[in-house]
Amino acid sequence: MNPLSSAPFLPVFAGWCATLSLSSRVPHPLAILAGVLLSTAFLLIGTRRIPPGFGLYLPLTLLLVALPAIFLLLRVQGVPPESKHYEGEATVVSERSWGFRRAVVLDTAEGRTLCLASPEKPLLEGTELRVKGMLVPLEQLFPNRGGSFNAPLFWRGKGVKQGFRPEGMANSGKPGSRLGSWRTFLRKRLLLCLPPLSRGHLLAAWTGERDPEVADLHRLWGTSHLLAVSGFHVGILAAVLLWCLHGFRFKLLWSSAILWSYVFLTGGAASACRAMTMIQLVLLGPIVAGRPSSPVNSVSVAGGLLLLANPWLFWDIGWRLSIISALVLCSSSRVLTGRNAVLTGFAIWLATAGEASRVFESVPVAGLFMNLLALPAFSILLPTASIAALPALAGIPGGGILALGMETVFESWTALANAVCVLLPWQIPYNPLIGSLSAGILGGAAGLGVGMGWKRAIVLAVLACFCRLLFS
Amino acid sequence: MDDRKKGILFLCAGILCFALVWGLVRGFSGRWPWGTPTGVAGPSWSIRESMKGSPDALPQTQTETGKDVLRETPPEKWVIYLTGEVARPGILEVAPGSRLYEAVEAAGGLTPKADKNGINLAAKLSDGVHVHIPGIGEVPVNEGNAPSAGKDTLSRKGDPSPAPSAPIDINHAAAEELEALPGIGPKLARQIVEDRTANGPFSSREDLQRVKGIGPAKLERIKEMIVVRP
Repeated sequence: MNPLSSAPFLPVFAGWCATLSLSSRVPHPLAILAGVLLSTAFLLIGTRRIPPGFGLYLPLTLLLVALPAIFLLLRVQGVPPESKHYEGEATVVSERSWGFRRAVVLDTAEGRTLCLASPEKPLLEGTELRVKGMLVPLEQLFPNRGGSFNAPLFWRGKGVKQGFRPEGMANSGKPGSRLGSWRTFLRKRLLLCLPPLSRGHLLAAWTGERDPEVADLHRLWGTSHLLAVSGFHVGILAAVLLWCLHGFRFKLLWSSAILWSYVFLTGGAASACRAMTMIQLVLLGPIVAGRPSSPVNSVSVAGGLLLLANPWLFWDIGWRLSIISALVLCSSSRVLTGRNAVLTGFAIWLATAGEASRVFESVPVAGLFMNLLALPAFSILLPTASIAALPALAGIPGGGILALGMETVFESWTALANAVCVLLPWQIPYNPLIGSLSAGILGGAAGLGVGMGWKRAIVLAVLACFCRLLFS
Repeated sequence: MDDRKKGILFLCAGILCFALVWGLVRGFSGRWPWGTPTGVAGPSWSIRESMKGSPDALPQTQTETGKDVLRETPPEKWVIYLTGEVARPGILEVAPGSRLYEAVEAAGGLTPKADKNGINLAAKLSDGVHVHIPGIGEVPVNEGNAPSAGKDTLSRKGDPSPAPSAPIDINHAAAEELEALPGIGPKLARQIVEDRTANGPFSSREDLQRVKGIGPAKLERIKEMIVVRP
């Protein structure tokens, strides 16, 4: 077994990520060269026996690293749009709180723009507007305030091209976009009809939005990822759908359509798109290629496709954590079977701790144990709470009783999780060593995932550790 | 050559590739042979970090006791990020001690839309600052707002205090000025002033860690907002 036969796209994807990562440290041609070299290293270390055609496939793979890497760098470092006046129609694509204002993403004829608006303005998702104002580079919208948070980068990861300084905004009177209107309707019903913990969890699972109080609780428990629509949610829905549609004609077509609708209904977060692309590849693998697609290869293809669509996603923490978790999960499923499967949770926590603590400053130790409990618990709680909420959302008399029952279950979970946090109150702050350890776990898992064996996987893990330590 | 030997050879070649990448990054980090990239901020934190981590920034000097210490010496050129209403916004190199009008001249001058009354062209610059030249009627939209993204993905959490707009000189700033830094309260600000009075000025930003209560994490948070001047 070697990387080219088990997961041929993984070295390519790793090369693109390395190029993007190094693009801000070294001149671009060297960043591409470094990406190609790292791919080569991965392939060479992973190859114990030379397969037939290796001499042809190796340069082809490296070409597949270099050419798209040039495309990615050109897109990331392209010249930003000039400031200019804009007057025309715009659709509110999404909106969220941003300090004392609302950050509103508008779909205009000039692409997606970001506007910082007063919270008093009724700019709900799906609203059609007639706007006029100045289109400006995102940097002009966010003065440099120091610190590590880069707002333009954050918004570019969400697909925003430029900022918008409105001089006038009015409702155009046209019917809004159907998806946006649905999301707004759903959000209103959830907020009005359900008790606090149920609505916080279902708001996240159904619309991808976070209730601040529930988000604070999950941050304390180290389970914030449960509130971001990700592979966990898409996977649960996929499992339920495939079970329900068992025996139906066009089962794959129906389940794919429903799953994509769910991803878009929840706002199309990077992690959800990654998971859905991966599931789609796994579902289509037997039909298109005649054999099931390797999960590790599917993660790489999904991550790579998303990068080609929007290279700024590379700096999106949601995308990164999603890719790391999925890669470790898929890789460890090859070696951690039976009772050892419980170690997968530990491996994922360790692999993501470096990145999570770099961004959020620290990670709670309680999260290590909470995730072992939370993942199976929420895979039952979320579907059950969703079904229990339906009567209340539909306005059926007495429907609130079921929702109240689920609220009690969520309260019990809160009490249990808080107790674990009291027992394990420590936080691990970011330091280069934890970052290096995470890189090592990821490198080792990737090695095992492509079947290079324990010894070579350990070599790869050690090299990944050193690289992270030396490059940081 | 049998398969086993070839496999070992591949392993060694792979390790060599890693070593080559390491050498490339160490050798060329932050060096831009075709001029620093302008026009796009891009992932600016990484650019700043690579410049900050450049070995050129911390030359070794000999002390009287003969011990080697690291001392920050003023760079030969200051790097300024100038945006807004200038002819050529982007990253510029100016002489140390420059004033804003010199940086504006280096950027090709103000555009007709620039708000000349809204800026102080005589203002002193410092290395690594970002200066935005506003246009007429331009309102700083995010002034005073700590983004609530602190509760979301990319942001760092739990720091409601707004960051100072210009870097603070830790060798000359008063305790009240130091309090503007995130994570520095009145007590810690007083300790910084007492320490530099008792032990002499700080020789580098890292030197701030000699104050009790400032560790690597806190230093990392404020590193971009402070400067050390003799």
